[in-house]
Amino acid sequence: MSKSDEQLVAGALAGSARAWRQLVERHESRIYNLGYRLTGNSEDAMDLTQEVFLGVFRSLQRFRGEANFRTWLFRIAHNKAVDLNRKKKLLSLTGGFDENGGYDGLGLSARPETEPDRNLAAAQSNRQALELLSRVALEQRLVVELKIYQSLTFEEIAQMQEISVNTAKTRFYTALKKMRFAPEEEHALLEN
Amino acid sequence: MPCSRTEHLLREYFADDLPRVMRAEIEQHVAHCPDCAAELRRLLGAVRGLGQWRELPAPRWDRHLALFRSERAAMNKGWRLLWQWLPAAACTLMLGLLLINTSLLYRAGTLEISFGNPFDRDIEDFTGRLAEALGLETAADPFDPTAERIHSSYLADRGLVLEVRSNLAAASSRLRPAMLDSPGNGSLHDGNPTVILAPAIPQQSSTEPGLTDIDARHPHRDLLLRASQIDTAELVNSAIVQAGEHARILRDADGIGSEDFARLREQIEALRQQNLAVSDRLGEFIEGLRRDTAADSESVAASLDELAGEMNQLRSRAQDFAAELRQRSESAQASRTERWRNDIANLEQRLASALCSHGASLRQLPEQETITVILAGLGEPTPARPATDLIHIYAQSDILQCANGVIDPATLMERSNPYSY
Repeated sequence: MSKSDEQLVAGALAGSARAWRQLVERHESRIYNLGYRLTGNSEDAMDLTQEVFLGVFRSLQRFRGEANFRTWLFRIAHNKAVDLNRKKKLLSLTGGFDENGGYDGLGLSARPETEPDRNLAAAQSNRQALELLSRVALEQRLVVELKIYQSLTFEEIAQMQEISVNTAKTRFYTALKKMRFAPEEEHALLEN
Repeated sequence: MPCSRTEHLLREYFADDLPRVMRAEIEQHVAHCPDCAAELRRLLGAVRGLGQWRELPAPRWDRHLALFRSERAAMNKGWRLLWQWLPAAACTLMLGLLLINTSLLYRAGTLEISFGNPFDRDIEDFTGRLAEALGLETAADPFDPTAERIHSSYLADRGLVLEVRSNLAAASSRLRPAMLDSPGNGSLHDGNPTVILAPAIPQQSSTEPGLTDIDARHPHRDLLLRASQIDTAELVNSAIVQAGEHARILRDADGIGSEDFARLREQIEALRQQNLAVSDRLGEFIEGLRRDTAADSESVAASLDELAGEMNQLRSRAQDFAAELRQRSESAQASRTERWRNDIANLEQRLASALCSHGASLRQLPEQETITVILAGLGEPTPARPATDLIHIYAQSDILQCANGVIDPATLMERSNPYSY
């Protein structure tokens, strides 16, 4: 029987490299995909994944098991994404604006197309989701990520973003409005 | 988007734990409003589009194993961790403070632009005061679904909806619906009352059930028939099962402590053993009679009478015991229900008083809007729906009148016309 996250955390804290590797292996794909959706490219997604697990490693001792490990991990991922976004914004101030007219450091550009095509089918399937996500700013993208892909409640999201539940709901709804299908897209969807 | 309600209704549509009454209202509106229906379809299209995502495998990397091995010893130095986290925490906090939401409100033909919900702060403030006045322990873990809390939602043109979750709702699940409908007149066993009241000796049927073909030709045919008819084991079993059920209800309704409950269980177990013993004796008697065709009729009949007497006595004891426990459990249930109802009435009074005391902070809400308070799980149960909500709808103008001392809290509560849903 596989060990629980909490058991693996305890093992890693006791110095077991094996427990640490199992813990990372179990969650790296989830975090990488989260990063991919937030950044729109593999390189940044991998940077974020490494940052997240570095954060987990650094604060492992403070994980007491009161919270669910997954929720705790998302909290770290959320903070790292915000942090990474801030760094990229600072860099982009010297580099000018992106094609969307903003300097969203994690702006979802057309970079997915330059990715190696080892996951071509998945990349095709993911293009629409990435295109939708590219329409909103990181704060809203994060809410969408946590709500749609990670099934967190608005209360959990609000806690994570240190905002009120109503603001979390508004942020989600505003994001959805920006991503909503135009009538012609709706027709295309029906035809497909 | 000509419909002025679209924004607010559809925002709430995606909320978690949306109260049934609100979901029904939104769905009803969407069903009759082509604008909202079209908008919802487009939003759901976006959700579907996002749902197309296919998981990608993470590229290979060292998983910080080298770091793990080299810094393992450093992991116990807690003070370092604190410093490493400070920038990230400060960054998140600043972002939370800086991020703003702009919302648009169409009302009375004018467009209002505001940051966040225009009443968010008032509502949050009011909700906090209400929780305090109702004595809810809202400081508990926010992720605990059973924790006491007030969930607020605001819909333009409709008003504020507050869903109050209190521990009283958990207590209601221990009350039986039948008892709640008619205290003191429990109908828990209405579906099967005849089991306890059945006559000791069933009516003899024309087909003489209980006799085999061999029995029918047996010289002691009449005695075998009678023996098959005096078996009260099933009646006693039914009484035992019901006694056990009533004992549990009695304990759950705080009618007895665990020691008394254990004693009742012992009594029930003793009855069960006696029933098994007497039932075995009857079985042996019948088998013996079948084998002994030359047995003396008179002595067999006397033995049979004795056995029937014992069985009837046991049946009476078991049924009296079950009836007594039923009466006690119903009485305990009625008391508990009464206490529960009193607690709810008390909560409603505190609610009305709190609305009078703190309702003024909601004066920014438009006058025609209402404040709906849903007391989750505290409505009158029905056979079809054992858990319903108790709903009070207060007019904003009534709350302000109460706040100004024009009417008292009792009148305010009367005007809210509470109902269960």
